[in-house]
Amino acid sequence: MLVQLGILCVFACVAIVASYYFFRKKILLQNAHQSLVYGLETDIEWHQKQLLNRDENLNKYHFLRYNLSDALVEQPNIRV
Amino acid sequence: MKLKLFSILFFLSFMLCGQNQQREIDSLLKVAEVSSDSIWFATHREIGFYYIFNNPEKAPLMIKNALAKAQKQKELYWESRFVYTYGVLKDVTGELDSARYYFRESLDKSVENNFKDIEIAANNGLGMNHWNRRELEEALGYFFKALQGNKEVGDEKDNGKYLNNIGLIYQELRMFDKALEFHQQALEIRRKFNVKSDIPASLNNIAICYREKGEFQLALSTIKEAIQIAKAENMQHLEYDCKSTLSNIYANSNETDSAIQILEELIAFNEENELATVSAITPYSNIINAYNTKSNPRKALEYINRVEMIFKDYPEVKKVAFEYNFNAAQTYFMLGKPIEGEVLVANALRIKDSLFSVENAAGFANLEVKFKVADKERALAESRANLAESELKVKQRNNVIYGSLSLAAIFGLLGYLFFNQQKLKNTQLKKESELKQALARIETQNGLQEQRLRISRDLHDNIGSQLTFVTSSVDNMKFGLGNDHRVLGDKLENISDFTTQTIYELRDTIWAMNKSDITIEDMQARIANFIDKARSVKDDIDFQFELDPAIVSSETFTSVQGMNIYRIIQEAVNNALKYADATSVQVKIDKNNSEYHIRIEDNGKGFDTAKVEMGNGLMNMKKRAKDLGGETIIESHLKHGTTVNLHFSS
Repeated sequence: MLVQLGILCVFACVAIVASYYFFRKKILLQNAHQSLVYGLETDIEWHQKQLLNRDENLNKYHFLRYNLSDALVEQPNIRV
Repeated sequence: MKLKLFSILFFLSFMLCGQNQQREIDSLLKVAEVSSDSIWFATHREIGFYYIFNNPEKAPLMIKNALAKAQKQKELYWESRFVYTYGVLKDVTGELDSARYYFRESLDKSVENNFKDIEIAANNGLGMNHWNRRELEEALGYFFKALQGNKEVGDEKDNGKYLNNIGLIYQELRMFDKALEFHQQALEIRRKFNVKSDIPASLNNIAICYREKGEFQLALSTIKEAIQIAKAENMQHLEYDCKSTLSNIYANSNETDSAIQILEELIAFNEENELATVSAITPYSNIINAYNTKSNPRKALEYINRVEMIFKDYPEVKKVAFEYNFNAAQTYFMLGKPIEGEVLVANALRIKDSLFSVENAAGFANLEVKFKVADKERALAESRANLAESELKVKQRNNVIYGSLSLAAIFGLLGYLFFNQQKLKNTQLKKESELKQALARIETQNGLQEQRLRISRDLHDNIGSQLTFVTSSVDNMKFGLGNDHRVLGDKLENISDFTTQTIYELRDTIWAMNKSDITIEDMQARIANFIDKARSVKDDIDFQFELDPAIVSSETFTSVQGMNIYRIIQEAVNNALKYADATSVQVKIDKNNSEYHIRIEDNGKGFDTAKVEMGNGLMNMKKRAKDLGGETIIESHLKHGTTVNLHFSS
């Protein structure tokens, strides 16, 4: 009976320790992932804004006034 | 030291079998005096036993001296042992009360000090003592105790002795089947260990039982085997006993003469050895019975007188000699002496009653049951021990199984957790990869678009400015010519217009190159804006612009398409404003399946399409329609207005 209780205790301890370890690791992985994803999404959003900005400027082109200078606006912060 | 003890005991044992050994005994005693205490005690014990059965007068002194020394030296074991030996002496010499006393004391001492071998011997001694006193129930009890004790701690070989004694008690009780049972067990053990000194005794007892059961052939064959072995082993006393039994068998099987012959040999032996125990009276009893059978009571009376002489010295023996009393009574009756016969019959009946009372029978049965219960309890204890061992093994096996299951569960849990972790990692990596790819695409797209825009801007700045320079130069030249060179002036004006148009075309192209597509909604707004502007310039003209509601506003054209559509509409409307003198201009955009249909209609003066040469404007419209993958059809009738139809597929 004691032996069986001991085996149960050992199993419980190992289970708890292992669960805690993997839980901690999961938290760390999720944090790192979220950080990376945030950075990537931020970059994508920045590029999307630039694309939108370009498109908006191009939409300023008047077919009768031929104001191309108003439509072709450079964005200096873009590296080509 | 052990070798010396062994040598002495071996020599003693060898010597005790022979005769006239006093000198040897004296020599051994001298050796024992200079030996260790254990050798001294052992020597005196063996010699004491020898004296008991061979020289009873010397036995008391020897045993007492040894006992005193053991008491003085506080050798509890030897003290207990010599007390027992003294009890044997008393028993053999017929002092049964004293014997019982010493046996009891020896038993108490051995129990107190846990001397198992002496305890067993004391129980056996008490059994013999009670037996000699014809207290068979008590004797049986002690023999069973001795047997039980020996089974627990003793040598299996000795079980034969105690089984034999129990069998003899049952014989006394005339319970021959039970007696046979125990004698057979004793014989089996004695044969197993080849105790040749005891095999004849067992065979003798078995023969007696067969005889009493009337199985004379079996009895004869058994006893003859016993005599043969006893003779071969030179065991005179055993041979005597066996011959006594043989005589009884002959007597019972009506071979009386043969019986008498053997009995006379036995009696001569008894008288020679001066034996006076119950068993020693037996041949007398048997020969008396034999002569009674031969109807020769006078001859029988001779032997009665000889027995009576013995009884004078050993009166207790007379009290327990059942068969002698019975046979002698018969002799007296045959001689016509009923009074003497009655006395002997009374003795015989009294002995018989003491044996065959109901309590005794129940007591004997209880004793055997108790012994068997004890035996079974021992077997049960062994079974329990085996069961406990099995249970322990099962427990150990269970623990191994539980441990293995736990280990498997732990590995399973770890595997599951690791799998989940990997799954999460994979999901995360997949998402990160998708985002990185999306970022790479959008970054590339952004970069390309920006680069294209910059190149376009540079192109416009360079070429546009150059064309503008050309236009202004041509304008200057025209201005410089004045009105004198009208034709040249017109041509310069054409060049200026063409260059200006080129600049516009360049700007449109550059814009379309950078703008990928344009929505219907955006187109609609631009066209509406153009219509509004035209309306503001010519407020007397009714302008209408209709877009088919079926056209989804989010549909798109490429920028080139959109530009071409717009320019066609622009050209058609401008022509209507310039040349048609119209009061109504309608612009309709329809879609039928996947084909667009744009219609610009005015109600002006119209023109003859066959006669009027197509100018640049109309040529441009056709070219643009061709770029759209469609065509422009101009319908016009004089005074009926003009309709420009544009068809193209989306």
